[in-house]
Amino acid sequence: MPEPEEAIVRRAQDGDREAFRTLFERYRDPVFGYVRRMVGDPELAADLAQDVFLRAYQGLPRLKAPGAFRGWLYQIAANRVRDHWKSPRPEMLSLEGGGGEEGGGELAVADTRPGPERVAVREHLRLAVSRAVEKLVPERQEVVLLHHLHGLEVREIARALGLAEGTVKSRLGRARADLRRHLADWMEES
Amino acid sequence: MAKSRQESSMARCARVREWLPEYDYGGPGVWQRWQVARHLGCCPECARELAGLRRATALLTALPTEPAPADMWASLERELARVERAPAPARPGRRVVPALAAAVAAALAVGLGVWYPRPEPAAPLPVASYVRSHLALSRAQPFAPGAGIDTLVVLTAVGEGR
Repeated sequence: MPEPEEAIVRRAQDGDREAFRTLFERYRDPVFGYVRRMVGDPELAADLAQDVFLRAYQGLPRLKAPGAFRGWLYQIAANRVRDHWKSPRPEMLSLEGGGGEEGGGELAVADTRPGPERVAVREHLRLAVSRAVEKLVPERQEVVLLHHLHGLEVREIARALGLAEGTVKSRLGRARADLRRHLADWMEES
Repeated sequence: MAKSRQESSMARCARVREWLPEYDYGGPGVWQRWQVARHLGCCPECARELAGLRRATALLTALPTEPAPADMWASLERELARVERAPAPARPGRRVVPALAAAVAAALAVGLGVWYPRPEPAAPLPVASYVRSHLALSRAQPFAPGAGIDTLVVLTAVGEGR
């Protein structure tokens, strides 16, 4: 029977490096994925994600509810992304490398493998969804990703982002309406 | 009559559609949710609208998941080592005990007068020179105001071993 996460967090709080590594292994892809989606650039996302875990390590002793680790970690990730956005940037990095079909993000890399038409359609859909998410204003983008991609409840998101639950619901609703509008073409086909 | 009923129905649809995006998230409010639920049961158009909204967010699962760089732990471990060389902040729960102990000790110190500044001891009274000067004065001017020896001063000084 696997050890409950709360117990692992407690061990990590007591300075058990292996326990912290277990938490890191569990959350590194989701946290990286979230940051990557929010900032676009994979290298920058890797730096920020690493910083998220560094902050988590330093802040772990102050975490009062080890059972709430996941929400707390995403709170750090969301704050790190916000800090990044607040800091002056020479240029905005686009998720798709300036909207072109070549270069840039992973979705712009053409799939050269021969395959059925369905694969191509799926790739187009992924690109369309990526762009639709990218078009959302950051406030809606973060809640929609945390809820629909990372599975955080409205309550958890509210706590993580320091918002009222009503605000989270409202942003989720608006994000959903935006996505529907941006993905209208795909909605007809799906 | 029929026209006004149609307008009323359109107005209801418009109102419900304002609330639909939040509906699945537990918004916007109890009364509005009740209105939406009731309306959806009898309005296929609005039910289709909600299904469309749900499909839009369902499409998010099509987003690619990209794994974190493989060397992330190694890089993080280097940072952790650097951080650990610096003094780590103590857990607040554990910090309470020494802080409390310090406060109690300070209170006791004040109570026992350990910490309280003692008054500076008075300079020792030079008894011998005092007696000598008063004897000389009493011989020369026996009726001068300071000529007499203050016995209390002498006794006190002697009692303190000076």
